Amino acid sequence: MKVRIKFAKSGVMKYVGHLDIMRYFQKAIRRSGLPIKYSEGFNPHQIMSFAAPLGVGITSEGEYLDIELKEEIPCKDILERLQATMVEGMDIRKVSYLPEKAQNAMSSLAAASYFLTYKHPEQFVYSLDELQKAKEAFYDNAKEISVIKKTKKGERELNLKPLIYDFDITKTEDKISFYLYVSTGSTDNIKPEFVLSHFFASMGHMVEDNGFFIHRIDMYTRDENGYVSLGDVGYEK
Amino acid sequence: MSKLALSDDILMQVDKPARYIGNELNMIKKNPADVDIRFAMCFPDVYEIGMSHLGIQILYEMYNRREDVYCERVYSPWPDLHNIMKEQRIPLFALETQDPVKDFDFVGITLQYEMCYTNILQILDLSQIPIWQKDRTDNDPLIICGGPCTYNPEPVADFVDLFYIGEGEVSYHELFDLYKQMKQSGHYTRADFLREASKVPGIYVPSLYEVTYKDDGTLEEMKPIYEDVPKTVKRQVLVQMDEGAYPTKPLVPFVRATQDRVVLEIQRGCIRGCRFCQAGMVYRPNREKSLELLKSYAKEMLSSTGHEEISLSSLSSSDYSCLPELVNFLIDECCGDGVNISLPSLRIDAFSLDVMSKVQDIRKSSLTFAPEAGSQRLRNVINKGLTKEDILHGAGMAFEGGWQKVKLYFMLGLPTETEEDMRAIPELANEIAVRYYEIPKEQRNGKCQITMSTSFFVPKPFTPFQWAPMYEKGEYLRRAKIVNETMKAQLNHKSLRYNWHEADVTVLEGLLARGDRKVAQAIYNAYEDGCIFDAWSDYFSMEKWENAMDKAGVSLDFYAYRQRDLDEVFPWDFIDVGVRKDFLKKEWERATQDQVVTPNCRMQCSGCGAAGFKGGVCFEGKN
Ligand code: SF4
Repeated sequence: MKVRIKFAKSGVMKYVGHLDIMRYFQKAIRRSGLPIKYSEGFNPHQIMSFAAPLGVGITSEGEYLDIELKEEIPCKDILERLQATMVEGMDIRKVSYLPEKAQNAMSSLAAASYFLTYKHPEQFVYSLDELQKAKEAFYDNAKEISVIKKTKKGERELNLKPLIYDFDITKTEDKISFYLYVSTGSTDNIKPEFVLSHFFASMGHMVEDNGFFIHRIDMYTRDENGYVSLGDVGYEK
Repeated sequence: MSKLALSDDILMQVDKPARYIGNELNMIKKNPADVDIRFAMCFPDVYEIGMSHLGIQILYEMYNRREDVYCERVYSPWPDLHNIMKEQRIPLFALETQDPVKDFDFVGITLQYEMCYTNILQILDLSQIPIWQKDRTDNDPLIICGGPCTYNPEPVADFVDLFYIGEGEVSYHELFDLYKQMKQSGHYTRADFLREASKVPGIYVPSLYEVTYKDDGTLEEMKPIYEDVPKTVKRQVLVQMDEGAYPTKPLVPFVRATQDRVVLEIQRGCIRGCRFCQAGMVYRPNREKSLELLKSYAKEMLSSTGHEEISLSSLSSSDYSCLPELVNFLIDECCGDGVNISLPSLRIDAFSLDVMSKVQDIRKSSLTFAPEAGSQRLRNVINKGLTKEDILHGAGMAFEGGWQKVKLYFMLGLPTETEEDMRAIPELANEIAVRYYEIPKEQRNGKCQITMSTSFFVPKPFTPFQWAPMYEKGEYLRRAKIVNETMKAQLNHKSLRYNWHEADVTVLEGLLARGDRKVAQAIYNAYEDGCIFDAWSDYFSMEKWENAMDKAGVSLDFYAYRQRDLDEVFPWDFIDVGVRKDFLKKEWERATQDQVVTPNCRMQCSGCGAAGFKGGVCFEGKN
């Protein structure tokens, strides 16, 4: 039985890298005593897969991992048992069963949404208005956003425009935040800070590495009706 | 959200930031305002190594069971962060509360190996605590050290306020109560506290002793400067092992630790008495934990951590009297569902082979033997009971059971070693290979692989070899070369492999191990010159150390290469470890003159002195 677990990563946990988070969950599941399925072989491992790695320094409220259980257990119980063994900063948000034929989270992933804020606001002196205008030119009215993307093999030219599904800039209590909804997954994996650095470059402002606090809001798959949260694919039992 | 001592910019800059955030599973959370004593427990090496250490987890558990104490952890910041902290003057902090260590009452540092000594200075320096003990004031924390290197604390004595000699389970409560009482009385001064603390069993306060030297540089005398300070410090021993605190909910780090598994301590001490082995002497007598307790710990710890592996910890697991019952229990009750057992090197016999075939992939795993010396003569000298027949028989059984890989551990530079002994190492390896090729071709799969590793022998305090000289680097390498050349001449040399350790670190380790108070200046100079993480070959610089020693007037000739006189006064003689010096002397003579073995504690008591602790193997079957 395939089970999808949605979790949030916040606070100091953002400094724990993806490989360590995987090991963390392997141990957490063992502690919870949930009847997870193991692979065959001399060194059996848990059948578990994550939707997408989250970079060090990024927080999230929409992370996913899929596991397989040997027997059916009510979603509520799974959630409670896992939550009881979490450390501060790791929270289980939702548990659902997946249809047997459902693709796993990693291969079905198509998009992700983010909030970004300045790490050093003093380096960004722009008003909301200025930013909005710049965004209109960079994104809303642009036919094409041509950028160079570094890949393992070298560099390639890429048009960002069709890969950014939404881009918004808001201001609450003096704090500017950027909302980005971008293509994610194995083919066109767009990082939100990559988009923002090009946006600021269009204003003539080169931003340094790690210039933004990044928060992942959710991850989505695509079906015939459009984008659906990975957490809404399954059903509760 | 918990606070952090380091800024986001710094954490994003350094390697493995998760080393510095705390928040691990099973971390103890307390409000510092609710306790009387804040204790920072430090392992002066990188997080992954320090987090793997069982002793720290035991003390962490034990201290935190007290409501009036909050014990937190500190590890050495890796050189990348070290530089940032120095540059920006960020004080070293404890992981739990992220508060600066300099505001704590105690900083406890465990001394597990000599090559961490510059890291002690790093900890003090980054904490912004004066490095020299004499420069500290009433407002600085008390620096207390424990661990195996305290069996000769003198090289670091000038950096440390107190040493705790022996097993932490025994005297810490008395020390904490004393501290609390003096603080609450309103009359606390550092000097008064240290004076009183020196009377607590097992506590050594170096500043209360005066050392005088002879013209030849050896010790004349070491004596307390006040009448009421004890002349000798008695090692503290937990006699009833089952009564000690044990961390049944150990911390589980996010970053993969070197020991990423449940560790079950099954016994302390060793019945064997190998003459080079410090642990075998200073942890006497051998004391076992009960099988029932270990069974319950195993279950509890696997479920409290979620670890996928459990391992046994002791000096010689094969000597644990209920080993088969324990191992069978672990296999039947704990394994499965992705949990493995990792067995420490067991003596190779029918039982261990049977167990290993159940828990390991035979093709991939290797058998381990530690004969320590190549010839039977030299094995008698070091009192290692293992015979060639034992090894060939064990290896033969294993080969027939499907194993192909053997690892052999030896030491070079042991007292009385001759070229013949060196050549005996590859010759023994060759005989093992011959044994393998006796198996009919159809029944074996391919070649065997026999790997020999040699380390260079380092004489340690409180061993029968504490009088022995070391050799210069070139001599060690010459010996390794003899082994290597002899290996190449063996019939089965294609199945043999050989690797040897660095010699530089070895001589320095030897100097620090048997050093006196004069050595402190060399350690200080080395640190000032940038030496940290000396146990890491990437960071170790013999050149810097040589300069440091020169400037301090400390020489390898005197501390490492010199043959000590039988009645020389040693810097560590003031410690009463249980085993008496005359026993060690007798053992030294049995080794070098008569070249005979001494029976192990279960066969026959040799009257080493440890029976004075009134427990363990000395009294087995006698009450
Ligand atoms: S007193 Fe005897 S039995 Fe006890 S540790 Fe010493 S030699 Fe072994």
